Amino acid sequence: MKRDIHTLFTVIIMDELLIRSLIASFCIALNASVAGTLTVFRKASFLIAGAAHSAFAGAAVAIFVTSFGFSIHYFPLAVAFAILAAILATLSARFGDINTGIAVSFALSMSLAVIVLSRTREYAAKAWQFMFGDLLLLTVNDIVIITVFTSILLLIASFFYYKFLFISFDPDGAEAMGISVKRIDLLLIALISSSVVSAMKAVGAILIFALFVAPAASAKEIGKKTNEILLISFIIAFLSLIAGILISLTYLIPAGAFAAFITSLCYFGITFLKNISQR
Amino acid sequence: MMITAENVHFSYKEKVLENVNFKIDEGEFVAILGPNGAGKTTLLKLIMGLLRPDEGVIRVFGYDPARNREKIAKLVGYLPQREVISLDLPLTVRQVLSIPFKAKGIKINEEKLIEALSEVNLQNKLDSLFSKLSGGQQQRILLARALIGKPKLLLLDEPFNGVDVPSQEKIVDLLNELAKKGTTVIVVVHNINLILHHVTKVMLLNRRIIAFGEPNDVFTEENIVKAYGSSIPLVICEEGYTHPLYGDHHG
Repeated sequence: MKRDIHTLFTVIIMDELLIRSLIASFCIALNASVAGTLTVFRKASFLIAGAAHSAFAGAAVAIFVTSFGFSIHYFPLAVAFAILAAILATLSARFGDINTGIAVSFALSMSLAVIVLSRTREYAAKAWQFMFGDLLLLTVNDIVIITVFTSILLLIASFFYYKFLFISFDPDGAEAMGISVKRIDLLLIALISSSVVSAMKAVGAILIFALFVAPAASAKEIGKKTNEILLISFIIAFLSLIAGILISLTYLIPAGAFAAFITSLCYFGITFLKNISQR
Repeated sequence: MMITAENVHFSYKEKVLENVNFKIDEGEFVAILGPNGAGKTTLLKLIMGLLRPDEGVIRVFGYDPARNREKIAKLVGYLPQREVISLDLPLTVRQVLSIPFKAKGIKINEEKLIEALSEVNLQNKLDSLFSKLSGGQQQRILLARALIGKPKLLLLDEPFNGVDVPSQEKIVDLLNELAKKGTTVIVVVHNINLILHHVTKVMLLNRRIIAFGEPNDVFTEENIVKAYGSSIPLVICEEGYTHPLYGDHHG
C-alpha cells in the first residue's frame, strides 16, 4: 500500500503531463471560484453555458480558417465570440428576457460551429478537444494561456470587486452613487465569458457550465459570507478536478467529465441535505 | 430653492411624464403619490440625474443633475425600491453599508457605520447577515446606508413596502426628525396615511402633476378621481387632516 502511494506520488512529481494538469486544475478552480461566484451573484448562470458554446464556435472558425493554410490561434477568436455572445444576450435582456437572449445566442453559435466544421472534415477531429476537453493532454502553450489569463482575471476582479458586488446587489443604488452600471456590467460579463474560454481545452465547452456554476451554487448554499463562498467554491472545483485526474489515471475516464460529474452531484447533495436539515 | 422642474417631459417608449412643473424648498418633507406607472420612480431618477428629460429643465441645488451626477451623488441619499435589490446575496450589514463607498474608492471607518446604524436603532447588527434580517430591519439598514453621507436631500422609493408596523413607525419618526433638522425629504408612497401628519407637501402624480401643495388642498374628490380614475373615500381626522381611507396597493 505504502509502495503504491509512493509510486503514485513519484509518478505525479515526475510526469510533465500530470504537472501541467495540476497547474491547470489550480488555475481553473480559481477561475471557477471567482467567475462562477460573480455569475451566481449576478443571477446569470446560463451566461456561462452561452459563452462556452459561443467560444466553441470561435474555435471552430479558427479550425476552419486553419484548414485553408492560414495559421490562427483559437484563443482570440474564442474569446471574441464568447464576449460578443454575452454582450448580445445582455443587451437583449435590457429589452426583453435574458434567458431567451442567451438561448438564442447559444443556438446561433452552435449552428455556426456545425456549419464551419462540416466544411473541414479532415480537421473536425480537432474540434473534439474543444467540445469535450482533455485535462491530461494540455500543451505548454495551453498552460501559459490558462495561467496568464487567470492572473489577468484575478487582477481585474480584485480591482473591480466592490463595484461588481454593488451592481449585483443594488443596481439602482449603484447608479445613484455615480457608478456606470451598464459599463461595469458589460465588463463583468466580458470577464466571465473570457474566463470560460481559458478552461475550454481542459474541460470542454459542454461541461464548463458544471465546473463553473455548480461549485459556486453549492458554496452559496453553505457559505454565509462572500469570502467563504469564494473559498468553498474553489475547494469544491479544485478537489473535483484532482479527483478527475486520479480517476482518469486509473480507469481511463475523461478527467473533466468526472470532475463535472462530481461538482454536479455536490450541488444536488448539498441542496438536498440543506432542505432536509431545515425541516 | 432646492429642486425646480420646468416643463419637464420624459418618455421611455411611451410618454411617462408630461409638462411637470414644481418647486421644492430646502427642508421640505414631500410625499409623492400616484397609481402604478404614474412616473413616480422616473421622477426620482430625473432628480438624481440618472435620466435626462426629453424637454424642459430640472435643477437640483442649482445644478443640472444629468450633467453633474457626481456632485449630486454627494448631496443625495437614495433608498431604492426593495424589488430591485438582491436581498438574498450573502452580505453582512457591514458590507451593505460599506460596499457603496469601497466601490467608489472612499475609505469609511467603523464609527461612521455604527453612527448610521444608531440612527435606525440597529447598532448591534453590524456583523449580522443582511439576508437573515426581517423586511423592516433590512429597510432600516438601507435607510442607514442612505444617511451615511449626511445627505442634504433624501429620496426614498416606497420605503414602507414589505415593512412591519413597528419598523414603519421607526422610519417615519426618523424621517420627521431629519426634515426638522433641515434635510429635504421626498418619499414615494402608496399609503400616505403613515406620514400624512408630518409632510409639508403632497404631490399627486399620474404622468402629469394632478395637484401639488398642502395635504388638505391636494386630497379632494376631484383630484383623487383625476389621479386614480375612481373615487377613494376621504376622512378628516381629529387633527384636521384629510386622509384617503385606503392606500392603493403596489403591483
